Parts: sequence; C-alpha cells; structure tokens
Amino acid sequence: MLSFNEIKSSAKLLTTSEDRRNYNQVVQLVNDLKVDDETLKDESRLRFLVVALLQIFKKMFSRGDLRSKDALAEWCRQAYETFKSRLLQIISELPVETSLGLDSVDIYMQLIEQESVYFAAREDAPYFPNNTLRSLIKALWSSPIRSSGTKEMASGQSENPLLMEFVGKYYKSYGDIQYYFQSEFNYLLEHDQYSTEESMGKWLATVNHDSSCTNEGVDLEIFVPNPPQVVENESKFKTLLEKNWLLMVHGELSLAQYKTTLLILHKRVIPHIHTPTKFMDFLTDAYDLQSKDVSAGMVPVLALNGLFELMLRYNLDYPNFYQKLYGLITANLMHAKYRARFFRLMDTFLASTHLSAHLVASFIKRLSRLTLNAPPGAIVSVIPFVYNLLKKHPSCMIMLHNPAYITDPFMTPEETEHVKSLRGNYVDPFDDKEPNPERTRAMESSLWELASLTEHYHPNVATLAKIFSQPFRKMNYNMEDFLDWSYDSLLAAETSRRLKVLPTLEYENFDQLFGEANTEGTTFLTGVDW
Amino acid sequence: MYRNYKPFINTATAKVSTYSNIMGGSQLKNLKATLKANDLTGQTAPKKKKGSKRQAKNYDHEERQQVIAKIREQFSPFEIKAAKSKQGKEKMVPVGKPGTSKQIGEEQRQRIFEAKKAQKNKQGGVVDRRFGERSRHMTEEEKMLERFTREKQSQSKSRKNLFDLNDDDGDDMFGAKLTHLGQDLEDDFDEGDLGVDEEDDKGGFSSKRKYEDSLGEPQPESRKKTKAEVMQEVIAKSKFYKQQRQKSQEQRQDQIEELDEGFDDIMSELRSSNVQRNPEEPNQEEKDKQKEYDMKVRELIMDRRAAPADRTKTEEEIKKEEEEKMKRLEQQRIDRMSGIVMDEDGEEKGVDDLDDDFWGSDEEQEGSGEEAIADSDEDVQLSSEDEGEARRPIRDISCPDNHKEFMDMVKGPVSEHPKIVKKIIKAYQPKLAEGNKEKLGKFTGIILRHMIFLSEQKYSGNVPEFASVQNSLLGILKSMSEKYNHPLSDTCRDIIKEMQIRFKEKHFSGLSVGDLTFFTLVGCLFSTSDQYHLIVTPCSILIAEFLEQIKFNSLERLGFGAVLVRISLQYQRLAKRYIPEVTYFLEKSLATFLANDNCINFNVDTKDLAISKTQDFSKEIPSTLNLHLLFESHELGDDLKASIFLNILDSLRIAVTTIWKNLSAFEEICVNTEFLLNEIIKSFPGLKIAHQLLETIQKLKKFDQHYPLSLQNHRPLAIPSHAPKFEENFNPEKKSYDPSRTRNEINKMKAQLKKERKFTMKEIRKDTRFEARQKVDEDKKNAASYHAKMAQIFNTISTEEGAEKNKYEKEKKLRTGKH
Repeated sequence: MLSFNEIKSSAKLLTTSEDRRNYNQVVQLVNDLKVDDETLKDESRLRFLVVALLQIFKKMFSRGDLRSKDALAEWCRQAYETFKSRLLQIISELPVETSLGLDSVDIYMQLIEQESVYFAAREDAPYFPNNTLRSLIKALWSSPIRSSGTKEMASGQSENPLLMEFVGKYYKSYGDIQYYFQSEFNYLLEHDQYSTEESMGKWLATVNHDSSCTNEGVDLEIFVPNPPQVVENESKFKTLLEKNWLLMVHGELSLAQYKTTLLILHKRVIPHIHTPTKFMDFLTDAYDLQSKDVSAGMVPVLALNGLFELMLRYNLDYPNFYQKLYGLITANLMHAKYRARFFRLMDTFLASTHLSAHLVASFIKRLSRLTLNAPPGAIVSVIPFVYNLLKKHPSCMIMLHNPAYITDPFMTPEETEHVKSLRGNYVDPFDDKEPNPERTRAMESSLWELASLTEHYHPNVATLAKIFSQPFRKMNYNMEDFLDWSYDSLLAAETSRRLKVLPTLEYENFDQLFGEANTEGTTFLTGVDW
Repeated sequence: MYRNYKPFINTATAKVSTYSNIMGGSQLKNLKATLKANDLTGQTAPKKKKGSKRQAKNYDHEERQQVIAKIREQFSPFEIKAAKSKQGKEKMVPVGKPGTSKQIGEEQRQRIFEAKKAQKNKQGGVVDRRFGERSRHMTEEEKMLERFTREKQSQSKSRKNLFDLNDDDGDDMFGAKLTHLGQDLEDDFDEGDLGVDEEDDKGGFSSKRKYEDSLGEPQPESRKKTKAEVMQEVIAKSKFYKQQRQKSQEQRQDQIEELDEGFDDIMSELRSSNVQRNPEEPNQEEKDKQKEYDMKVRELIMDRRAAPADRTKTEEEIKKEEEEKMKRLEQQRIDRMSGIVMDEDGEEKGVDDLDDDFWGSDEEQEGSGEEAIADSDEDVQLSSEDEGEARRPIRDISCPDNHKEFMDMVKGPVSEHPKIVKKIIKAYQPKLAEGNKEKLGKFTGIILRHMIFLSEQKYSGNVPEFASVQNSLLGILKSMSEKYNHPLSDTCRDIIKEMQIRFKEKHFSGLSVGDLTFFTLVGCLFSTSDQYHLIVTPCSILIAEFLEQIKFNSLERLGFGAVLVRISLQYQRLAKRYIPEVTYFLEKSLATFLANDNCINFNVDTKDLAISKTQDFSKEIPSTLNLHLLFESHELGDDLKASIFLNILDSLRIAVTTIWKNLSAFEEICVNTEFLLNEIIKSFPGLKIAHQLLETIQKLKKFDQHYPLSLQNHRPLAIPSHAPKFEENFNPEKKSYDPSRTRNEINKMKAQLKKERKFTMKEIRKDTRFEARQKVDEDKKNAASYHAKMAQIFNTISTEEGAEKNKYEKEKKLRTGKH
C-alpha cells in the first residue's frame, strides 16, 4: 500500500517529466487501486489515487503513448485497461454510497471523453467509445447500493446514487450519451438477462424525466468533441428507446413500477416512441393484474386510462374496453382509497353521449347496487354521477320512472287490472353476474337501491338521494364537489357545528343498559351483557 | 349678508323689464297696465290721505307691498320656476322660486361659515376641570376629600337658593329671579299681563310686543300705536291694578278677623278631648295581649294564603293523562323523525313538561320538611333508598371539577359510587349556592365519563353487582340529563372527538369497551330517532366508520363489531333508517366465519376465524355477548366464536325484520345474505336460526311488491314562453311595468339614492364655491386695508417730509435772505 505522499510524488513525476523509465510506477499505482474493507478505511487516499491516475493517463493520452502501435503503447494500454476495470469494479461492487464511487463515475466518463479523441481511427475522425460506455452501464446495473427511502418503495424507481450521478450529470444533459446509452442498453438487453424488478427500477430512474433528446424545446449538448453522425438520427433513437421500453415492460415489474410506468406513459414515453400501440400488451397485462392480485388497486384503472388514451389518440382498436371497465366496478371499489380517482376516470370514459343506453344502464345499475353496502363517501359520489348519466342518456330514465306501472284513479277497471297483473308478474331481469354490460338487461330493471337510499341514516345523504324523485331540473352536478367525502370530513362537519338548540332527549326510561330481553325492567340493549 | 343679497335682487328686477311676459305685448306696457290696474301708478287716491288715520295708511302700505311683490313675481321669469301644466297648454304652473331658495341657501351657508369661523382655533381639546387632577402635591385622599367638600358645598348652595321648601330664609319660592333668555321676567309678572281678565285687545298686543322685544330681534311691526293710545293703556292698567290690590287687602282683613273670632272655640274643644283620654291608663296585661294580637296578625299576613287544592284525580284520569302525554311525546318524536324541527319554544316546553310531572309522579319522592324544600322544582330528583343519610345536607363533600378529582373521591368499592354521586348532587343543589348549577353541569359530564371508565375496568369477578352499580348510575345520569342537557351534550361531543382522534391514530387498538358503553349511553339518553341530532348523528357516523374500516381479523374485533351492530340497530328501532355499513359488516362477518371459497367476493380480512365444521349447534349456546369476556377472548375461543356468530345472526334477523323489509330494495339487499345463509345451512345443517331466517326472508320477499319505480310522476312542467307581452294602455310616463314588487322597490330605492347623491354633491360643490368666494373677499379686504394703511403711512411721511422741506427752504431762504 502506497502512502499519500508516495502517490503524490510518483504522480508528480509521471505528469511532469516525459521520462518513460518512470512508467513502471503507473502499474504500481494501478495495482494499488484495490478496494476492500481495509483500504476503504482511508477513502480519501483512494480518491486521491484515482484522481492522480486520471491525471497521469490524461498526460499519457496527450503524449500519444496509448495510441501508437509499439510495445510500449501496448503495455500502456494494458495498464489503462486495468485502471478502467478497477474503476468499474469500484462502481459495480461498492455496497454503500461513497464519494469514491461517485468520483469513479465522473472519472470514467472523463476517460470516455479522452478515448473518443485519442482512440479514433485517425485524428479528428468521429468516434464514440461505445464499448466503454457499455461496460459502465453493466457496472451501474450491477451496483448493489439500495436506498432505504420510502420513495423508492412507493414509486418502484431506483435511487442508486451512482446511477443518479450518471443520469443527472451526463444522461440528462448530453445527446450523444443518450443515443449510445440506448443503443448499448439495447445490445445488453438482447444478450443478457435484465428483466428483473431491480433493473426495471434503474431503467425507470434513467428515463423518467423530461430532458430526453426527442423532447421538444430540449437542446442538449454533445459530450464527446466529435461524435459520429448517427447521434443526430432521432428516428433511430426512437426505435431504440421503443425497443428498450418494450423489453423492459415485458420483464418483471412490481406493482409500484406498474403504477409509475402507467403514470408516465402518455407524457414521457409515448411521445418518444414510434408506435405507442405496441404498449397494448403491457396495458392489458396491467389490467389483468386485478384478477391475480387483489391489492392491485389503482393499476388496472390506470391501465384502462392508458388504453383509453391510445384509443383516443392513436386509433387503437381495443375490443371490450367497456366490458373491462364494467368489470372493474366491484364491491371493493366502494371501500378503496382510489375511489375518487376511479370516478374521475370513469367520468371521462362515460362522457360520450354516443354510448349505448344498455351499457350506460348497466353501469348505473351496478353502481347503485353497490351503494347498498357502501360508505357514505361512496354513495355521495355515486348519486350525482348517476344523475349526470341519466341526464345524458334520457332513455335510461325508465329505470327511475316506468309509466307502465302507474295506477291512477281515472283508469278503467280493465286498465287497473292490467297494471295490477303487470306488477304482480314482474320479475327483475337484471343479471348481476353477466360480465358484458350490453347484456345485463339492466334497462328492464329499476333503481330500487337508490330509492332506498332516501332512508339512509345520514340526513345529508338521504336528502341527496331525494333528487331522483324530484324533477330533473339541474343540468348536471359538478362531480368534484362530491368525490372527496370521507368519514373524517363528515365528522369534521359535525363537530364544527355549534350547539344552538339543545339536543332532544329520550323520554323513554330504561332500567338497565345491557341485559337479556326477558329480565325484569326495561333494557336498552339486548343480546349484550356486561 | 345684504351685500350679497341686494345686487342679486337688483339684477333680477332688471331682467324683469327686459324679458317679455307670457301674456304677450311689450313687457313695459304690460307692467304699466298691471300697475295701473292695481292703482299703483300716479297719484293713488289723494283724497283718502286727508280723511284716513295713520293706522289705515299703514295697513294700506302693507297691502301695497304685497301686491307689488305679486306683480314682481308675475313679471320676473326667474323669480318663479314654472312648469307647463298638463291640462292647459298655455298655462304655466309655478313650482318653485329659484331666486328665493338660492338666497336662503346663501344665507344658511353664510351663517354656518361664520359659526365655523368664530369657532376656528377655539374648539376641540378637553380641558380637565376636575379639582386637583394636575396637582402633584396632593395625595389621592386629599383630592377626594377636597372634591367631596366642594360637591357638598355646591349642592347645599343650590338647595338654599331654589325650591328648598324647608328653607326659612326666603319664604318666597320665586325669591330668586326667574329669567327668560337672560332677561328679567319680574317686570312682566308684576304687570300681571297673564291676560286673564283683560278682554282688551290692546293689552294682549302690548304684551306680545314685550315678549318679542325680549327676544332681542326687532320684528317689523305691522301697525304702529299712536302715543295717545299707549298712554291710555298705561293709565287703564295702573287703575286696574290699584283696584285689584285694594280688593285683596280687604279680603285678607276679613279672613284674619274671622280666624281671631274662632280661636277660642277651637282651643276649648281641644282641651276637652284630652281630659277624656287620660283616665284610660293601659295595664300591663292588656298591653301584652295587644302585642300578641299584633304578632298574630303579622304572622297571618306573612302566612301563605290557602289556595284551593287540586282535586284528587282518579286513577283512570291519571292513566289517561299519562297516555295523552305519551302520545304527545310520541308525536313530537315522529315529527322530529321526519325532519320537522320544532321551534325552540316548543322544544323547551317539551323538556319542561318532562320534569314537571314525569318525575314528580315518582312515589318514592314523598319526602317531608327539609327534604321537600330541598327537592323543590329547581333541581334534579333522585330516587334514593338511603333517605336517612340524605336528609341532612352534607357540607363536607366537594364537587369534583374533572374525572380525576372524582376518582380521588371514590376510593372505596364500586358499589359505593352511586351513593357518593347522590351525595354530591344533594350537596350542590343549585338553590343552595350560586355557581352550583355550573358545578353540577360539569359533574353530569363526569358521571358519564365515570361510567365509561368503570366499564373499562376489570370487573369480571362480580358482574351482577357491577351491573347494578352501572344501572343506578344510569338512572342518576338520566335524571340529571334533563336539567343539564347542555353540559352533558358538550361532554358527549368531546368524547366523540377524542374517540375519532384515537381511532385515526391507533386504529382498532385505540378503541375499548368504554366506547361501546358510550354509544349505548348515548342511545339511552338521547332521542335516536331524530332525522338530525347533534349527538346521535356523529355517533352513527362513527359507528359506521368503525364497521367499515376496522380490519376484522380477530375474534375480539368481530365481537366489537357485533356489539356495534346491535347498538346501531337499536338506534334505528323507531326511525328504521338503512345503514349500508351494517349490511357490509354482517355479510363480511358471516363470510369470515364460513371462510368458504365461495365467499371470496366479501372482502374477508382473515381466513383463520372459520367455525370448525364439527361445531355442534344443537345444544344451547348463549347468543348474548358479555362485554368483559370480549376483550379477554384468549381462553374460551370456540365458545365465544359460536356465540358471536349466533349474535350476528340474531342481529341479521333484527335488521331484516325491522329495517330492511320496509325498503324497496329489500330483494337486492338480501341477495348476498341469502347466498350466505344457504352456505351456512350447507355447512351447519343443525343451525335452526339460519333456517328460520331464510324462511323469513323468503316469506317477506313473497309479500313484497317488487315492480319498477315511478319516481318521476310529477305534474308536467310548463315550458316557459318568451313571447313578447303586449301592454294595453301603455304609458311612457310610467317608469316600469315590472311585475316584481321587490324589484320595483329596489329600483325605486336606487333612483332615490342616486337623486340624493346628486343633490348632496351639488350642495357640497356649492359650499366649496361659497367658501372660496368668501376667502377671496376676505383676501381682498385684507389687501385693501393693507394698501390703505400703507398709503396712510406714505402720506404722513410725505407730509412730514414736505413740512420739513418747507421749513428747510424757509430757513434757507431766510439765511440767503440774510446774506
């Protein structure tokens, strides 16, 4: 192990004098660059060593020592390769976040810059050291550093500091790096196994930002002085990115990653690829998560949202969209946290007045069926939603008002008899198991559920439910006013009320609080005892 | 003032002559003609002057002035503002006098301006005239003393002067001079010009004049009296008064003589009466008797007068009354249930009714003497078995301020608690001391908290005793709740808030048996059937939240839920409102107990709680849940599981038979339930209650008329028409044809406001202009006086100079002359 001063002196020697006899010290220095628990104790020494080596090799590059074809150059190149592999080793193996790791990434990138100048076929020839970059990507991808932050858990996106350094400093700001990254990553994907969740997390960390070179208004610089012309080729970049994306999303994804991907899909992915419709499989997969995993939550909904976007903008022909949407409306939805978001999306999906009345009727019927054991927050969003749907599709009004079943005192006895028999023979034809909303025969049913809600225990909900028996004068309800109600907000409304009129008391008298029904004296609550 | 006025009038009159009159012809000609017609030109009746007196002439003069003014008005187009009359085209109707009004305005402004000017630099600021306020050498006490003496002095002084009846100094009440507007009134008074007995016109006239003189404002006399007249008056008056004085003197003399004559008679009579009384010397006995009598009378006065007692009612009548009251209360309850909120009076009356006789009928309350007074209408009555102890007012007990303090007081066994509570209530009855009412109000909340606290303790050792303690506490709380509704409600609201926070922070582990007790107590104390209730509604929401959000993955939690469902159903026993969360919980819990693969749709939280297939339901398993066992469920797992299961089934039965069956969506609600019941029967064929329940549901379904709704059976709406409306007898003068009264009023008000605003702006502008004019005038005056002064100085100087020069010249001449 060399001491601080030894490194300093030999580095000075190597950089100042051109005496080739000193070159043996390079090997000594490179060999000294070993990372293990022991050497890591003196991290600043290692950092100094790395920087010194960079300076030395820079000098050697400028002297042309690495380029010529003689034995010395061969020997030098070997030393250089060793240095590079040491750096990569540091990047890929360091288990904790250190300054050394970050320095290594920076220095490696500087070496790439040097290489592009001095390793070109001839002087000033365009060249990019793509293999060197590929090694870096490999090293970054195998870096084991993980952050314990909850952010990573929530988004499924890696927060590896080395990768962040690379992405933040180089990938985001240089067009040629982006191009070669994609092309090399594509090579790696085709030859190696990168379909793990971890790799997906790193991939997301790399591309989840707005400074892609295909972004409008983003003007990126060039990292190497003279890159090949191909980096200007936007179409090729898109092809590569698309390939990488598709390969990545068909690998293993965690739920959080699904969610993140779906969330960035139409802002940060679709604009940068050629054929967005190729994501259909991914979206379908995401949608099908529901059947596999109960905790899928919002993912199927977001997937449907993505599909909807594709249908709307890219003419994706997707069969059974509404059937799938219908399938998402389950009892769990009413009790889930993402209910409000679902309603917002459903509001857009069902906004068209060209949907078939049967389909809309099925949605209405299913939603109202689910209110029967839903919390008030859900009921409060269903009622105006159904109102708006009914207003948009007046033919569904028959579910609220079927004139055939009305009797009135001026009817002839035959008519009365007819209505009576109609009433007596009526059987609700609605099939709640039918997955196809066109075939549920909801239209022939009626919304008893909503009518029953006028008997809801919460006075406000009961009052709101009464809108169905009043004339439909309002054009529509603004859904935003109704979506975010919860028990907390209901209780907050109660507790903020001032005690103006004294609450009325029970005039009945109970001898006992709990007890059996048959014991003597009046009991308030039977079936429970002390 | 007049400087402004005169030129204005002059110009106005000048204009009169230049403008033509409305009547046609030359203005001058018209004027001449009119003057002539009124006999105002030329020599006006020269003959009359000789014969008539001055008086008549004066009268003439007055009339003449009036006539001239009229003519002036008639001829000046600016003196009168005229508007065309609506009837005749030619005729003009005078509506105002701009000149005069302007003049008046100007005068007013002048007055205000002068007042302002006079007060300038003189007003504002407070002068502290209190004695010694500024002085530093006096102590506070000295100041006060000094002030007091001064006040006393000034008071006594004023008393001495005026209206002091006891004062001997001035026997005349009007000794001090009365004045009016600073002028002595005595002269008038002496003259006796009250005008009572003076029929003469002239007298009255003169008095009026005097009065007006005293105002200090010379008023133009309409008619002057001649000197002869005045003299005559004076003579007549003096004669009259002289006569008056003589008359009164005579009368007085007569009276004195009369009194002198009668004096002896009166004196003799007085003496004789005194002689008669003297022999009756009262002896001691009689005195005592009288005293006694007096005292008796006093006592009787103090005694309450006997009032007719209410007729003793027969038992039937009492029963009937009771029934009627119950009916009324029931009706009120139904009204509240349907959301008809009574006004505050009505409600208060209801509460008053309650404690008037609802409690008074309690026979145990027949106390005597002190007890009866203590239990009079102002406080809460308690049923007390320990009368002997309670009869003495207890002074050595303090009313706790919070539950902690109360806990320090009740260290003994639980069974003693109700006694202590009663003692405290007795000791702090509102009429015994001020502030007791608040204290007892607080104490009501403490009782509630104590009941909750007790239920959280370990009492499994002696359940019946514990139950009786809680029940007697409930009785106390119930009767206290009528008087102390407000503090009790406040406490309830606090508890609800606390519970909500606890649940938010710690979820199920934040809850305890005490919360179940609280919900039950709320149900006992408050009317749970109201459509909206300040306490019950939040409680219902909270119960529903618990039922929906708790993860029911342990037996303990399921038991908790089962009790919550019970309470919730009990809340709705009258109003029969639907609670979706109860349905949700019932389905979920039954599915949890089944843990069947078919029940995957029910969002079951755990699969470990299934009842084993070997469970034997044929034997008697109590469906009653014991609260103290619920949270110690570790030992008797299976038995408890079975009884919770049965309890939930029983709750389901209650829900179906009381609430669900009335709903139009009964069939829809029962879909899941029926499925679950079928599964249960499949798993446990021996379970009778499931069979019964299923049968009940099917029977109810059969009788339920289930046919499509017709909710929109409204009268068809008229389509609003926007055809223009034709107005017959349209009048452009009419401001608006708006049928809305309120809008009309508003518009009218707006117009008025605009007008007022305009007017005010105009006035303000006029004021400022006036002030500016005044200022210019003043400046001019100042400048003029300055110049005059300077000119004078220059004059004097030059005169002096000239004189000196002349002198000098003279001297020079003299000297040169000499030479």
